[in-house]
Amino acid sequence: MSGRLLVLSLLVLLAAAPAAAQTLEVGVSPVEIATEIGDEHALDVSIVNRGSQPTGPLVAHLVVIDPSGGGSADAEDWTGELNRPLSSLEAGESINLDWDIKPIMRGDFIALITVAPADRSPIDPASSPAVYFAVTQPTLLVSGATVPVSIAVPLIILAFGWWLLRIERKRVAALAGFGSSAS
Amino acid sequence: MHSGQPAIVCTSISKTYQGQTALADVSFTAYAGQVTGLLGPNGAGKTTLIRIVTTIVKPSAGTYQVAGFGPDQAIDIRARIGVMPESAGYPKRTRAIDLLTYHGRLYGAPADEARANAMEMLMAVGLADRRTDRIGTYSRGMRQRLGLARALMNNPRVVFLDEPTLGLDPAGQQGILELIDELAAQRDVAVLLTSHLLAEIQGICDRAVILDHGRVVFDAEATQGLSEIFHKVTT
Amino acid sequence: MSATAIVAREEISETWLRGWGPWLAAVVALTFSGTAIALGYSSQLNLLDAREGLAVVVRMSIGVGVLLVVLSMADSISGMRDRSTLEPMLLTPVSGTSLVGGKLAAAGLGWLVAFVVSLPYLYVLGDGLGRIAVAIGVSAVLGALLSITFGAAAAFLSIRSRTNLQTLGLGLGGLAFLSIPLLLPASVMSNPVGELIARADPLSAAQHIIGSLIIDQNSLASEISWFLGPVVAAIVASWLAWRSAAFIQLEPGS
Repeated sequence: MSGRLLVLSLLVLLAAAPAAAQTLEVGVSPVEIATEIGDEHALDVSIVNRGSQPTGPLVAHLVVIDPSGGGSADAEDWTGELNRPLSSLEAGESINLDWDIKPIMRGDFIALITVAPADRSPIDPASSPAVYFAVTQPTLLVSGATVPVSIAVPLIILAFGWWLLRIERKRVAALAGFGSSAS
Repeated sequence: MHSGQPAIVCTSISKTYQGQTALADVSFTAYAGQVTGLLGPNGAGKTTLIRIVTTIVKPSAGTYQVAGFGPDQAIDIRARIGVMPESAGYPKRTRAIDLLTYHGRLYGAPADEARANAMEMLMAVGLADRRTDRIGTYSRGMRQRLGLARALMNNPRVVFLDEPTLGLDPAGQQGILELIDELAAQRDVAVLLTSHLLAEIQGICDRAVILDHGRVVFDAEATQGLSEIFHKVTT
Repeated sequence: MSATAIVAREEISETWLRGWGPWLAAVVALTFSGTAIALGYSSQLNLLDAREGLAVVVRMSIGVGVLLVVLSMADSISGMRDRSTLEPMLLTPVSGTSLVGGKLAAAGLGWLVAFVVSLPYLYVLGDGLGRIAVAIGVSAVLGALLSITFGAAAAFLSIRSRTNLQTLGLGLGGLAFLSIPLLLPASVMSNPVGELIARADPLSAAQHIIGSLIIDQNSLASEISWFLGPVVAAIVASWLAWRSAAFIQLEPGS
């Protein structure tokens, strides 16, 4: 929680700071996502070193903000990788990341990827443009093949049981006829 | 008088169980082609004796031979005997012909042969018309007849019938006893038949053994003296 | 056909062809369906890790299968004793070991049915996780081992007990005893004595294996030693059942 506050404070500071040449540049695509709870989306994140020196090791972090709640949502519930350690980027080098996000709450949210030096190198942290999520309730609770399979398997077994019952009835009828001429 | 070979030979059999003496020094012989009545009041040790010579209870002392095999040859004995236990249970949902076919298969008969034997036995005991009925729908008399059919499924040389008329009405008793009489005469098997009522079985027994408190008190051909001794031990 | 096979065939026919087996399988499938939908919903919300959902189905498959085997075997001999159908069976030239072996083989079909029914659910819940093969393998191996262990133990109790009620009481008591390690906190079970108990107790060992291989995605090689407990338990229980089956006896009559 304190880490999250730290990141938020950092973002505020970044916004308030006078414009300066940024060493790191973070891009993200898409920047608007209309989706349903539980649907997974991949953010295409690009990080470029615009400076003239290697960056040193970096760490990328996902932040999810709930504007209506006045704070951040629990981002660790939205992704399995809250932090992504990155190796140092040479001058002019870039890296692309796929960041899987699965919204778990209904509402409007803002997601950001911030990148900061993992050690004490004097590089300013950078943040991606905001990704606006509009999340709605899904019409089906369970997606994919789960529901069809959950309906089909018991029905198939019941049909199989009924078929066995028919075979048994035929067998008994045959036994009733068996040796009847002798009796 | 007996013309057949010894089929059951008991020699000094004793059985103690939970401190009680169920059988004490029991010796007798039953012969092929004869019906031997094993008589005695309730608790005399008849069922215990049958369970010992049919290999499912071990005696505390003594030995026996059934169809020429001793206690160490239990599987050989079981292959040659047919037993109708007292108050035997039946799987209620099973059909009569399936039960007998299964038993036939347990004696090594192939499926078709076992089914044909089962049908023959059901005809012999008058249950052919009810062969595909579930046993749970049978009356007690029908279950007794089914038990007799099951005891004969392996074409046995020695047949043990433990209280076969128990709980039957007079007509049912008569029907079962006639079946047993026919069985001994036609198949030349040794039949050991237990009862606590002499009058019921006296007519078909060639020989009688009377047990009282686990001891043999009479072992001879079924003569008039039998009634007196039986009356003495049961009163 | 051997006597064991004849007994097994008859038992299977009575239960699965002429009895309640298929309807019970449908009930088992409905239970899986309800669980799969609940798990699908939970994993969609990411409240439950999808791999945990997979592990739940594996546990259910093993649990339901073993329960069917145990109930069937607990009833095998003491149930026949109660219903007075044991004596006619003992009077046939079929040995006690063939009788119990045939019944155990037939009861094992209960587990096999539960396992097969669980496969479509494992497939849909494990889709995209890359652990389906592991889940199926773990379910098959542990299910078979635990079915043999508890089926043979139930047979042993059934042979030794005088009534079905006694078998049921002793069986449930034994299961409760073996479940104790599962209820203890992880801190207790992580010390050397706790780990030894967990390894020896087939239920705890199975629980560990499922968690480690399916949820934590550890390799089989690193967890292979945990199979020792269930294997030894299966051998010991089978030996006990085999030994006692050879001496099935009735009590003297009146």
